[in-house]
Amino acid sequence: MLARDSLTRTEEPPKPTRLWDVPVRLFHWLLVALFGLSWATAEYGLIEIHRLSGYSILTLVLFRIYWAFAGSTTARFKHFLRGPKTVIAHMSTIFHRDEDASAGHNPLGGWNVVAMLLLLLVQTGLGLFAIDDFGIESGPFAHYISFETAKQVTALHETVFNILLVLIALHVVAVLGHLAIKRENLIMPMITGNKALTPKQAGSLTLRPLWQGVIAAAVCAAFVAVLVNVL
Amino acid sequence: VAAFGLALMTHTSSTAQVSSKQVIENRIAAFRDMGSAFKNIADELNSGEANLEEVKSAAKVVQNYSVGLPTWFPPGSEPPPEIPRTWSEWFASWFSSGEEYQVPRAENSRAKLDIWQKPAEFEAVYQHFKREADAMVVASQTSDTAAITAQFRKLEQSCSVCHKSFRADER
Repeated sequence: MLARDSLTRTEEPPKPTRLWDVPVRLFHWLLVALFGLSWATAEYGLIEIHRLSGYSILTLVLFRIYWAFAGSTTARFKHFLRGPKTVIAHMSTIFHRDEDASAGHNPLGGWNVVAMLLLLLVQTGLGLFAIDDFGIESGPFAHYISFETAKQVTALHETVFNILLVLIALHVVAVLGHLAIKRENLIMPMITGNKALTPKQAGSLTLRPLWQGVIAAAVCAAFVAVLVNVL
Repeated sequence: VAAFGLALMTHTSSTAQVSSKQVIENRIAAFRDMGSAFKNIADELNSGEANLEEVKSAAKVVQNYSVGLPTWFPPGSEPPPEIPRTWSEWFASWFSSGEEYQVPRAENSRAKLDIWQKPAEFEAVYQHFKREADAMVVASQTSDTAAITAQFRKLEQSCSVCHKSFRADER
């Protein structure tokens, strides 16, 4: 009886816990939509919309990087960027359910998130210098560089897009893998923000107030607006 | 540069000794030079305070090239057949970018075979381009920036019309 009592005490049942804050979820789904929009508008040559979509993605990424230092616990680099040992240890649990897994990005997925963020920053940066066939429909900084250089930047813009597609595919495959193999739904928490977590899994999660995210996003948007209009 | 390019193009098309590979690569270089002239015009017109002398000289470059353009596609200068690639080469090509912009390479020619197979249609879109290129030079000799910009749009359209029919999207 004693042993069983102590067992029930240490393994408290999971209860719905706020995992992802509103800014992270908004960031995620807006990015999904804008990435699709950027892809489609590039394919169909709708460069006016493509430019605006790119500026919006740049805003989102700048905000997300800020939020990775100042946001809620699970949004922070400090929370999900782990050393190689932890990453390798995590890889041994890939095909079975890991009850000890902590909340938020896992050690492998966390690095993919950083890679995607950095590549999106590079990608939007390259887009500012990219041109079409004629150098007519161009990024706002294309006039600083020669036609040949701009053509190479544009080719690189396509290459980085392809690398991003690969990273996104890894991300989606991992999420679906969690669903199919580990029977763990990671999609709903990114929509509702909540996930059933034991206190042990949850650890100490703190949420930043929404208004801080709103102000930071507004500052990022203003910065991008000034960048592309003034320079 | 433009005059030299033009001389080179005329020369290559009139002498049979030049390899078709060289003809294709000169053609790509000439189109790029034209692209560069287009960018110069666009950059000036977008700057808000266009240097109309720049626009005038770039329009002249385009006009000069437009004269010889039909001779850049002699019989035998069709793009070389695509070399079959292994799956891994195809995948690697996804991630190697810009290489084709460093040196013109015949393998990268995006000219469609329709150029040689439908000469009458090609001639028609060429004449359209030629008219707009001439009109661009006339417009660029005025100081009416709005009219120059309007004519530039029409010129760009005439390029696109041909690209849609006679240029492959990717190579």
